[in-house]
Amino acid sequence: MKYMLLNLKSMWQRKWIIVLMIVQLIVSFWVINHALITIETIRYQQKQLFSVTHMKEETTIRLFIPDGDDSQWFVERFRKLEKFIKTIPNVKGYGSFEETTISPQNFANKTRYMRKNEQLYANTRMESYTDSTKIIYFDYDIYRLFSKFQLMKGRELSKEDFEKTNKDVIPILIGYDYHDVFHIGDRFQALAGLGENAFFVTYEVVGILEQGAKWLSANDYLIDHANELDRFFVAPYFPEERDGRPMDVAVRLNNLFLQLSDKRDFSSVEKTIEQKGKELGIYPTLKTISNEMKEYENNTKQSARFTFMVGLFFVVVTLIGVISVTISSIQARKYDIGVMMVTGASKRDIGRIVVMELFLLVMTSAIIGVVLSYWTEWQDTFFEYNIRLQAFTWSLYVKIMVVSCFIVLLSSFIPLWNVNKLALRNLVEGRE
Amino acid sequence: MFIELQNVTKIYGKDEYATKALSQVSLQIERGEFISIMGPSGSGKSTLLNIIGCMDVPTEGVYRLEGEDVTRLNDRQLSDIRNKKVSFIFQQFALMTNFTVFENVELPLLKRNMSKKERREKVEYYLNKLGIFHLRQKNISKLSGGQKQRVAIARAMVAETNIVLADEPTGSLDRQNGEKVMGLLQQMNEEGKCIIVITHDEKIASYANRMIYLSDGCIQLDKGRG
Repeated sequence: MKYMLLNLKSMWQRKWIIVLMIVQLIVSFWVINHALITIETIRYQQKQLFSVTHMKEETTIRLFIPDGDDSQWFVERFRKLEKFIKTIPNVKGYGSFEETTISPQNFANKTRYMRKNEQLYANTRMESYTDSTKIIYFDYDIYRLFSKFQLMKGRELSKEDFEKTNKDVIPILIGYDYHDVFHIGDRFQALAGLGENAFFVTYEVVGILEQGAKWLSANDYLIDHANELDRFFVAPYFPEERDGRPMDVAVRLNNLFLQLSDKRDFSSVEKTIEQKGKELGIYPTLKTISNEMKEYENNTKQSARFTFMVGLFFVVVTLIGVISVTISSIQARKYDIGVMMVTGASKRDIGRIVVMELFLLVMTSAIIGVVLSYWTEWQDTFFEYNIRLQAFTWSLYVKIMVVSCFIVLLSSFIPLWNVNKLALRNLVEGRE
Repeated sequence: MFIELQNVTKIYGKDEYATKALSQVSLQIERGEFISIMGPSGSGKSTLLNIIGCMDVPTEGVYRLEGEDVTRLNDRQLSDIRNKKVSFIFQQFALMTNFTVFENVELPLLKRNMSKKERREKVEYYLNKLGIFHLRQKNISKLSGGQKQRVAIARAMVAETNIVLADEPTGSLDRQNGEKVMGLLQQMNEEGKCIIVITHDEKIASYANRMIYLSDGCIQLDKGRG
């Protein structure tokens, strides 16, 4: 350790070579980090799905209709298919969810509500929409079977709440951040429908969500960061919102789920639904959550592997550079090494200095590489959340540490062999 | 016996490239002796000094230091001896040029179990003793030859070893500085240290009370042995 302080000074004297080595290493780490972050993100996404919902890998099924659109022709057939699915005995539940925005009106606390949103939306893409709040509409089965969020006050949504008409009062759960704006029993109105057909729907607050409640993104339930519901509303679909216009139906196509009683029912249910779809002229396909995750994982891992290989190529090139610079630095410092050995340093001490120097270089580069990766991911944040930022956990850091140690190990082997070959008698006075 | 060499041979290289630097050298040195080793270039003086200082090991023969067979020791044990029992002074000073006087003198203490404060006190004591305390923060590259050799002597002193090996310590110095260096070595000898000096200079050799003359790797003359 005491020799290390001397070596730090010696490194400072060779600072430009060291800076260049570090830059080379940082580039390698940045590329490797990119691959590791991708792999970590997949893990996070899978973990997130099961921590936010009660979905089951093998029995929760995603329904796709690749040729689905917002034409009246398709919508009519799709409605028939939905009705049919609900009659299949092995289907325990079916439904969808949707994320949109509403602007509450005609309520006492509007000023307070707007002020609250000013705070909540400051410096976000919502900052010019302080009169609005995002809302997630659920079908009953999705809410009943998959939601995990708890309430801090009020009551859960019941089956009857999901059977309301457009004219009924729609029960609503509000996010934790609004707990000091709305109270149980408060009512407000919001427009539903479009243009001349728009009308006010009345909502009544029946519950307040617990802080930190989460639900999946309606944009991509598997890949996107889950929504934190603290600044959301949650409500049951009512007819206008669910099926009012063909567009509303098309939107729901993104998130159609079935829950089976048993995973063995999958093929029969798949066959039945595909058969019915064929009869109707639309072509539904089904995938278990597990299969969808595997497909996504395989596709993403393939690109991650390629990036990783590119990173490894950089590492190999860097290793050659690091090794040759370390060997030439040992050759250049032969005299100093000799002086240290004459005064009592063993070859092991010198070897330790070489390894520590490499360790310091590699670790500094790894840390800067991680910071750089975080910064570039953060710069890449177009939405409120970039799910890749969630990959920055201990698991990633440990992997980078392992890669770093591997680099140190590989790069120190030849220089150490070089140190071992040093003959002290040649070092100081250069005789023989 | 303090230092004892029995039939020590040192061969460099192999087969047709083999060069015998020392041949069947036997030598006994008592504690507190001041010895000069003389001889023509290539006679094996430096090889002998390297072996005594554990910078090299004999090809054949036995070297005992304070009764311990040094030839059987590994690199770590030899480095321990270089740290605790032997100090060196070289013609070209053997100082780390990009480091300060203080850092150079402190070097032997880095291997020892001493606090930073203890090391600082000891280094400063010897720098004061040699009158170079004011140079402590100066880089070695900024010093004159005489000053550099004083730093090398301070480093040898700070180690407080019983053996000081000097390989032509005045070779790079003018007469005045050379005499000062030899005066310091004499002073160290009076303090009980065993000094072994390699020199070509009869005058320098005359500081010693025993003179060994080497030629072709063999001791030709061992004068003044008590």
